Amino acid sequence: MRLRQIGRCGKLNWFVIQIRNQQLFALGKALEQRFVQEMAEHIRAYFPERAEDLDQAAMERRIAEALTTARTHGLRSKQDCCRYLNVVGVCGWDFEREEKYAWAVRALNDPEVTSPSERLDGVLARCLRRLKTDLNNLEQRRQFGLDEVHSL
Amino acid sequence: MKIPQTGPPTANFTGVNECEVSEVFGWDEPGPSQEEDPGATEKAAARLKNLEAAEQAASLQGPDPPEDPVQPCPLQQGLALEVVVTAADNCPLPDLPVQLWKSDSEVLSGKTKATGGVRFIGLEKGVQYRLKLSSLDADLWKVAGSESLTEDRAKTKKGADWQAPPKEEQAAQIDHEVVQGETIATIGFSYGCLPDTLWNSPANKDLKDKRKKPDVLYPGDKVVIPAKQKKTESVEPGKLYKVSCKGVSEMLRVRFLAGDDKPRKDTPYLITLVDDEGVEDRTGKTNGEGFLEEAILPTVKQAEITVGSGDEQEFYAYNLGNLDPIDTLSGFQERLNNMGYFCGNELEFGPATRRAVRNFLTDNKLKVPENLKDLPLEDKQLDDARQHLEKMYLS
Repeated sequence: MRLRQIGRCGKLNWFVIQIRNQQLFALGKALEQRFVQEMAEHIRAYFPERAEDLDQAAMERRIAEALTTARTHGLRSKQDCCRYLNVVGVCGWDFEREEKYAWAVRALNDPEVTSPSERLDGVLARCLRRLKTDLNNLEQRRQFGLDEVHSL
Repeated sequence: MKIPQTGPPTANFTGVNECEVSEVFGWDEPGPSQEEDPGATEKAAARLKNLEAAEQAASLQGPDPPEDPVQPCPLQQGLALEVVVTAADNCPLPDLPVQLWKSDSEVLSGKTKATGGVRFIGLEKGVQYRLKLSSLDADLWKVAGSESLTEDRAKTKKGADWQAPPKEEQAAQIDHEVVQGETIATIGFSYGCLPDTLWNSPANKDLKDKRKKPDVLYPGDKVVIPAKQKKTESVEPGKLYKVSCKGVSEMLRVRFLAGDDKPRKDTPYLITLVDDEGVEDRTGKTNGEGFLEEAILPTVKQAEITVGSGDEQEFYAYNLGNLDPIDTLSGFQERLNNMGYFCGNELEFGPATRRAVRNFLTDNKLKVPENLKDLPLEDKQLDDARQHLEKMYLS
């Protein structure tokens, strides 16, 4: 990075900052590493069961892998990456390889939805609805006097 | 407490109206069950709360990629437009393709989520867009109303990713072959047509004459799906549009009668509805005529009902959409079974089924043919039994 004077106006000097690609790349790496560390805290705070048995290095490795997968779905912004990790928090680190979450993978790659963020939003809306329904089911059964969960 | 195992239902299953008729199964053998974790409700509540908090935290993250040191232009902004699609009873309709057209060559595509909603962002103020529900027939949907979005929801910092429109499928009719579990309603739902549009189409006249009821089809029947009529509605950004779809949800009706045939009114029930997305429990009370009535989507495949309270709870389960026509052996047996006249597991018109027919005719003061044990199923002497059974079943 270097400063180059490009002009002068009265008492003010005008400069332009030149940053080389390699410098941007190095800066980007540092920013990404900081984001990974921030996401590790996010997982520990909201999905502690996903952090069990993982030390900091293993956790960061898992998050970096998840972020790589998120990018394959077109999810690039910090917000979308963080929300993708929320799906991981609910469904598990390897949810994309599990048959029971095949619907989520289909939704994340749905060609009928233009925006990757909207695809992700659809997956999270379904996760939230499922959790709300599960909670409601338990409450309905308790109110009905059934102290047993009937599963099909 | 275990769900009590019941014998032949003292409650009479007298009919499912406007919904495909169903088959009772496993009434004497409740499905596998698991003991409830004492802290299950707290755990479920904690999972939900954690995800909501995590989503809130995610919303504070920026729109820039984590590895990109160059910040996006803070001046970039646009407007959003939201659409919520519901059935006539306000039940949200998920997974419906929705398109927003800017011009004949630029379109944004989305799908309704579990809430029935879809959001388009990066739109320009003052521009009229066209809204299209591409998978639905024009008769099926209409914009029922609109309201302005709050300032927070109306503004977006991302641009719209306009794309070339998808290739429209040739507007032509389709021949659909019925499989077990399908009715006109479920077929209409999957093709985005009104059940009445399908059932009353001249192309399906032969099927209608043959089967008489839209909720009792037979595997191998052919249903002609007419070419869809398309339409668009003019919409503007910054608003929430409420789209209503008619004829989508159905009414599941089951009537419970006491031993003396009096309706079991105001009886509490818990109904468990099962579809591909999972299980949903609802509670309620039967009405003054002993009917349990619940609005359901055609995607529901099974319904389990626990009725009554305390030690008098009874459990029933139904496969929805699996009832065969009455002129088939399976359809005849299923109706008798559902009315409490059990035919065993016979795959032929055998002694158990004949005994069930005899009991049914006797109980309903109908003439029992003298040579019942030798009659073939299609014999005209059994028409009385068929007609009365069908009448009672769908009354």
